[in-house]
Amino acid sequence: MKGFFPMRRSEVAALLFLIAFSAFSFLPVWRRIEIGGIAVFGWLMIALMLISPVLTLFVFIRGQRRE
Amino acid sequence: MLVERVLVVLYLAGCVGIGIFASRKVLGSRDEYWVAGRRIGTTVNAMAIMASLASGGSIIGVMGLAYSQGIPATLALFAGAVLGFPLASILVARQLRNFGRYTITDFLAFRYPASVVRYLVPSLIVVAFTIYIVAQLKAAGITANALLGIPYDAAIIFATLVFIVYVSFGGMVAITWTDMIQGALMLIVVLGAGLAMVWRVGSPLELMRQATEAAPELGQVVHQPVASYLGYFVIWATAIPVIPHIVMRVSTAKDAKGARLSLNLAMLAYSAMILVAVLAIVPVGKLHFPGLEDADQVFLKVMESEFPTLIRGVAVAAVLAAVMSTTDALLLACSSAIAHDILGGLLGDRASDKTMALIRIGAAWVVGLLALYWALSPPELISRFYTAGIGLLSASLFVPTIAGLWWKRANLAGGVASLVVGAATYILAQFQILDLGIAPVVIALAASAIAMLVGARFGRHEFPTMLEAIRALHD
Repeated sequence: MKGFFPMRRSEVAALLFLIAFSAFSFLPVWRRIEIGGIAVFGWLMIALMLISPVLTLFVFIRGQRRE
Repeated sequence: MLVERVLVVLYLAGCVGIGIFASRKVLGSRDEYWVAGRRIGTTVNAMAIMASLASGGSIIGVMGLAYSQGIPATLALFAGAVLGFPLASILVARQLRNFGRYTITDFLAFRYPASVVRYLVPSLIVVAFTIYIVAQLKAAGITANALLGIPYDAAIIFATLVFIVYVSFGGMVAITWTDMIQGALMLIVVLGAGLAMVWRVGSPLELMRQATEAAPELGQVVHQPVASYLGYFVIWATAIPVIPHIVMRVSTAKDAKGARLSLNLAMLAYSAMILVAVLAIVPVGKLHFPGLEDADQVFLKVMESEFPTLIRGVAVAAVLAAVMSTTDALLLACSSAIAHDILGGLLGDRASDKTMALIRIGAAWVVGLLALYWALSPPELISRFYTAGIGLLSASLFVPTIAGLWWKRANLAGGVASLVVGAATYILAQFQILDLGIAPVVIALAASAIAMLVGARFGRHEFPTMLEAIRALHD
């Protein structure tokens, strides 16, 4: 990745995870399956809205400790 | 209705008071006016960022949407913004704060020094944000009419004059403090109401079980194909890192750490508010008020049936706060595009501080009154247009900004090409002149990225001094 300015590995991993999780959530199959009365697509969106802030905050705090 | 009206009048008077109080400090200084002297603490900034993003749609709209279209679809529309915050925190917050200017135009015009960048970027911002402001004014008028019985025209004239006064005279200092109060009000009302609903039933899962048994469509994906949610999701995910009123907030932080942390905390607050609204308040509305003709009434119906008058009055103020906290930030960003980016660029150092202060105030009044004039007879589809306006900003600004900060081969040709091609492709796709069957923003972002690659391949390599300056922003 010589063409890019360096980014911490944990930040790269967090971004890739969140983008991959979002793409996974939008697979059409999750619209049809329901758990507890809510489509899996809905549960995945709830999970994304919980994981995204917590993971980013964790990565930030970890980075600050290392600095 | 008297209690609600008195609370709202007190609240609006407080906003004007803050603006006039702040004006004594900010009018003579660009730093104070545009970025509050860069000394806003993390918690205050986080609350102000959350409030700037959470418009009337984030209280009334999100619950109405969940009521009528189900929880999964609604969350898909709002989760894009939640993904946008990590992108902003990791990809732009540190660098733009270290850059030490005011607006996204400042950065792009520095990174890609060409007249087309200096003037096209603020022009796009003015167009997109004026539409956004009109949509918010319309929401304010409808809300005040429904909740307080005030005629639509009188409500928006009064509300517009209030926020023009405190934005034009108090600048970023005034809107930071009003937004913080407005954000706290929204958060307390929505979280408090949601927790009360859950407490009465026993657990959120039990509440959800009862609601989805009574109304199965609440948990289903209905009405629209996933592709339509995907467009909205991508628009907000890519808008947050570049949208002017969020970028200006990044610049108000004391330092780069504060900028990043305030974005992270704002994301937590925004996420919590949306989840509680959709998962705790809407199910109660669906159980107690099935078959509402106007789904946007669900929040107010629940507040009316479950809480005493005083709390209902606070809830009405919270709804108006949501509308105003976004509108004031948009107005400041829009006036910065005119007064700082365009006129400031043209006048340079020739204008005195006093002249620039008058230009700043005048820009806010011109934009505010223009939006008011339009909002008095708004187009029916204005709320759709404003998402399209945000899409235009995402499509044109995301690639040049991110590539300009992170990719060493991004150059002037690539930056200009990605900006122009992103904007043009989005407009063509939005008006279905270019129709590939996928969301316009996805096509436009892809076209913008390709334009950047082509420009970088065939354009002149960037000067080492520019690369060194960008590298310094990462420290």
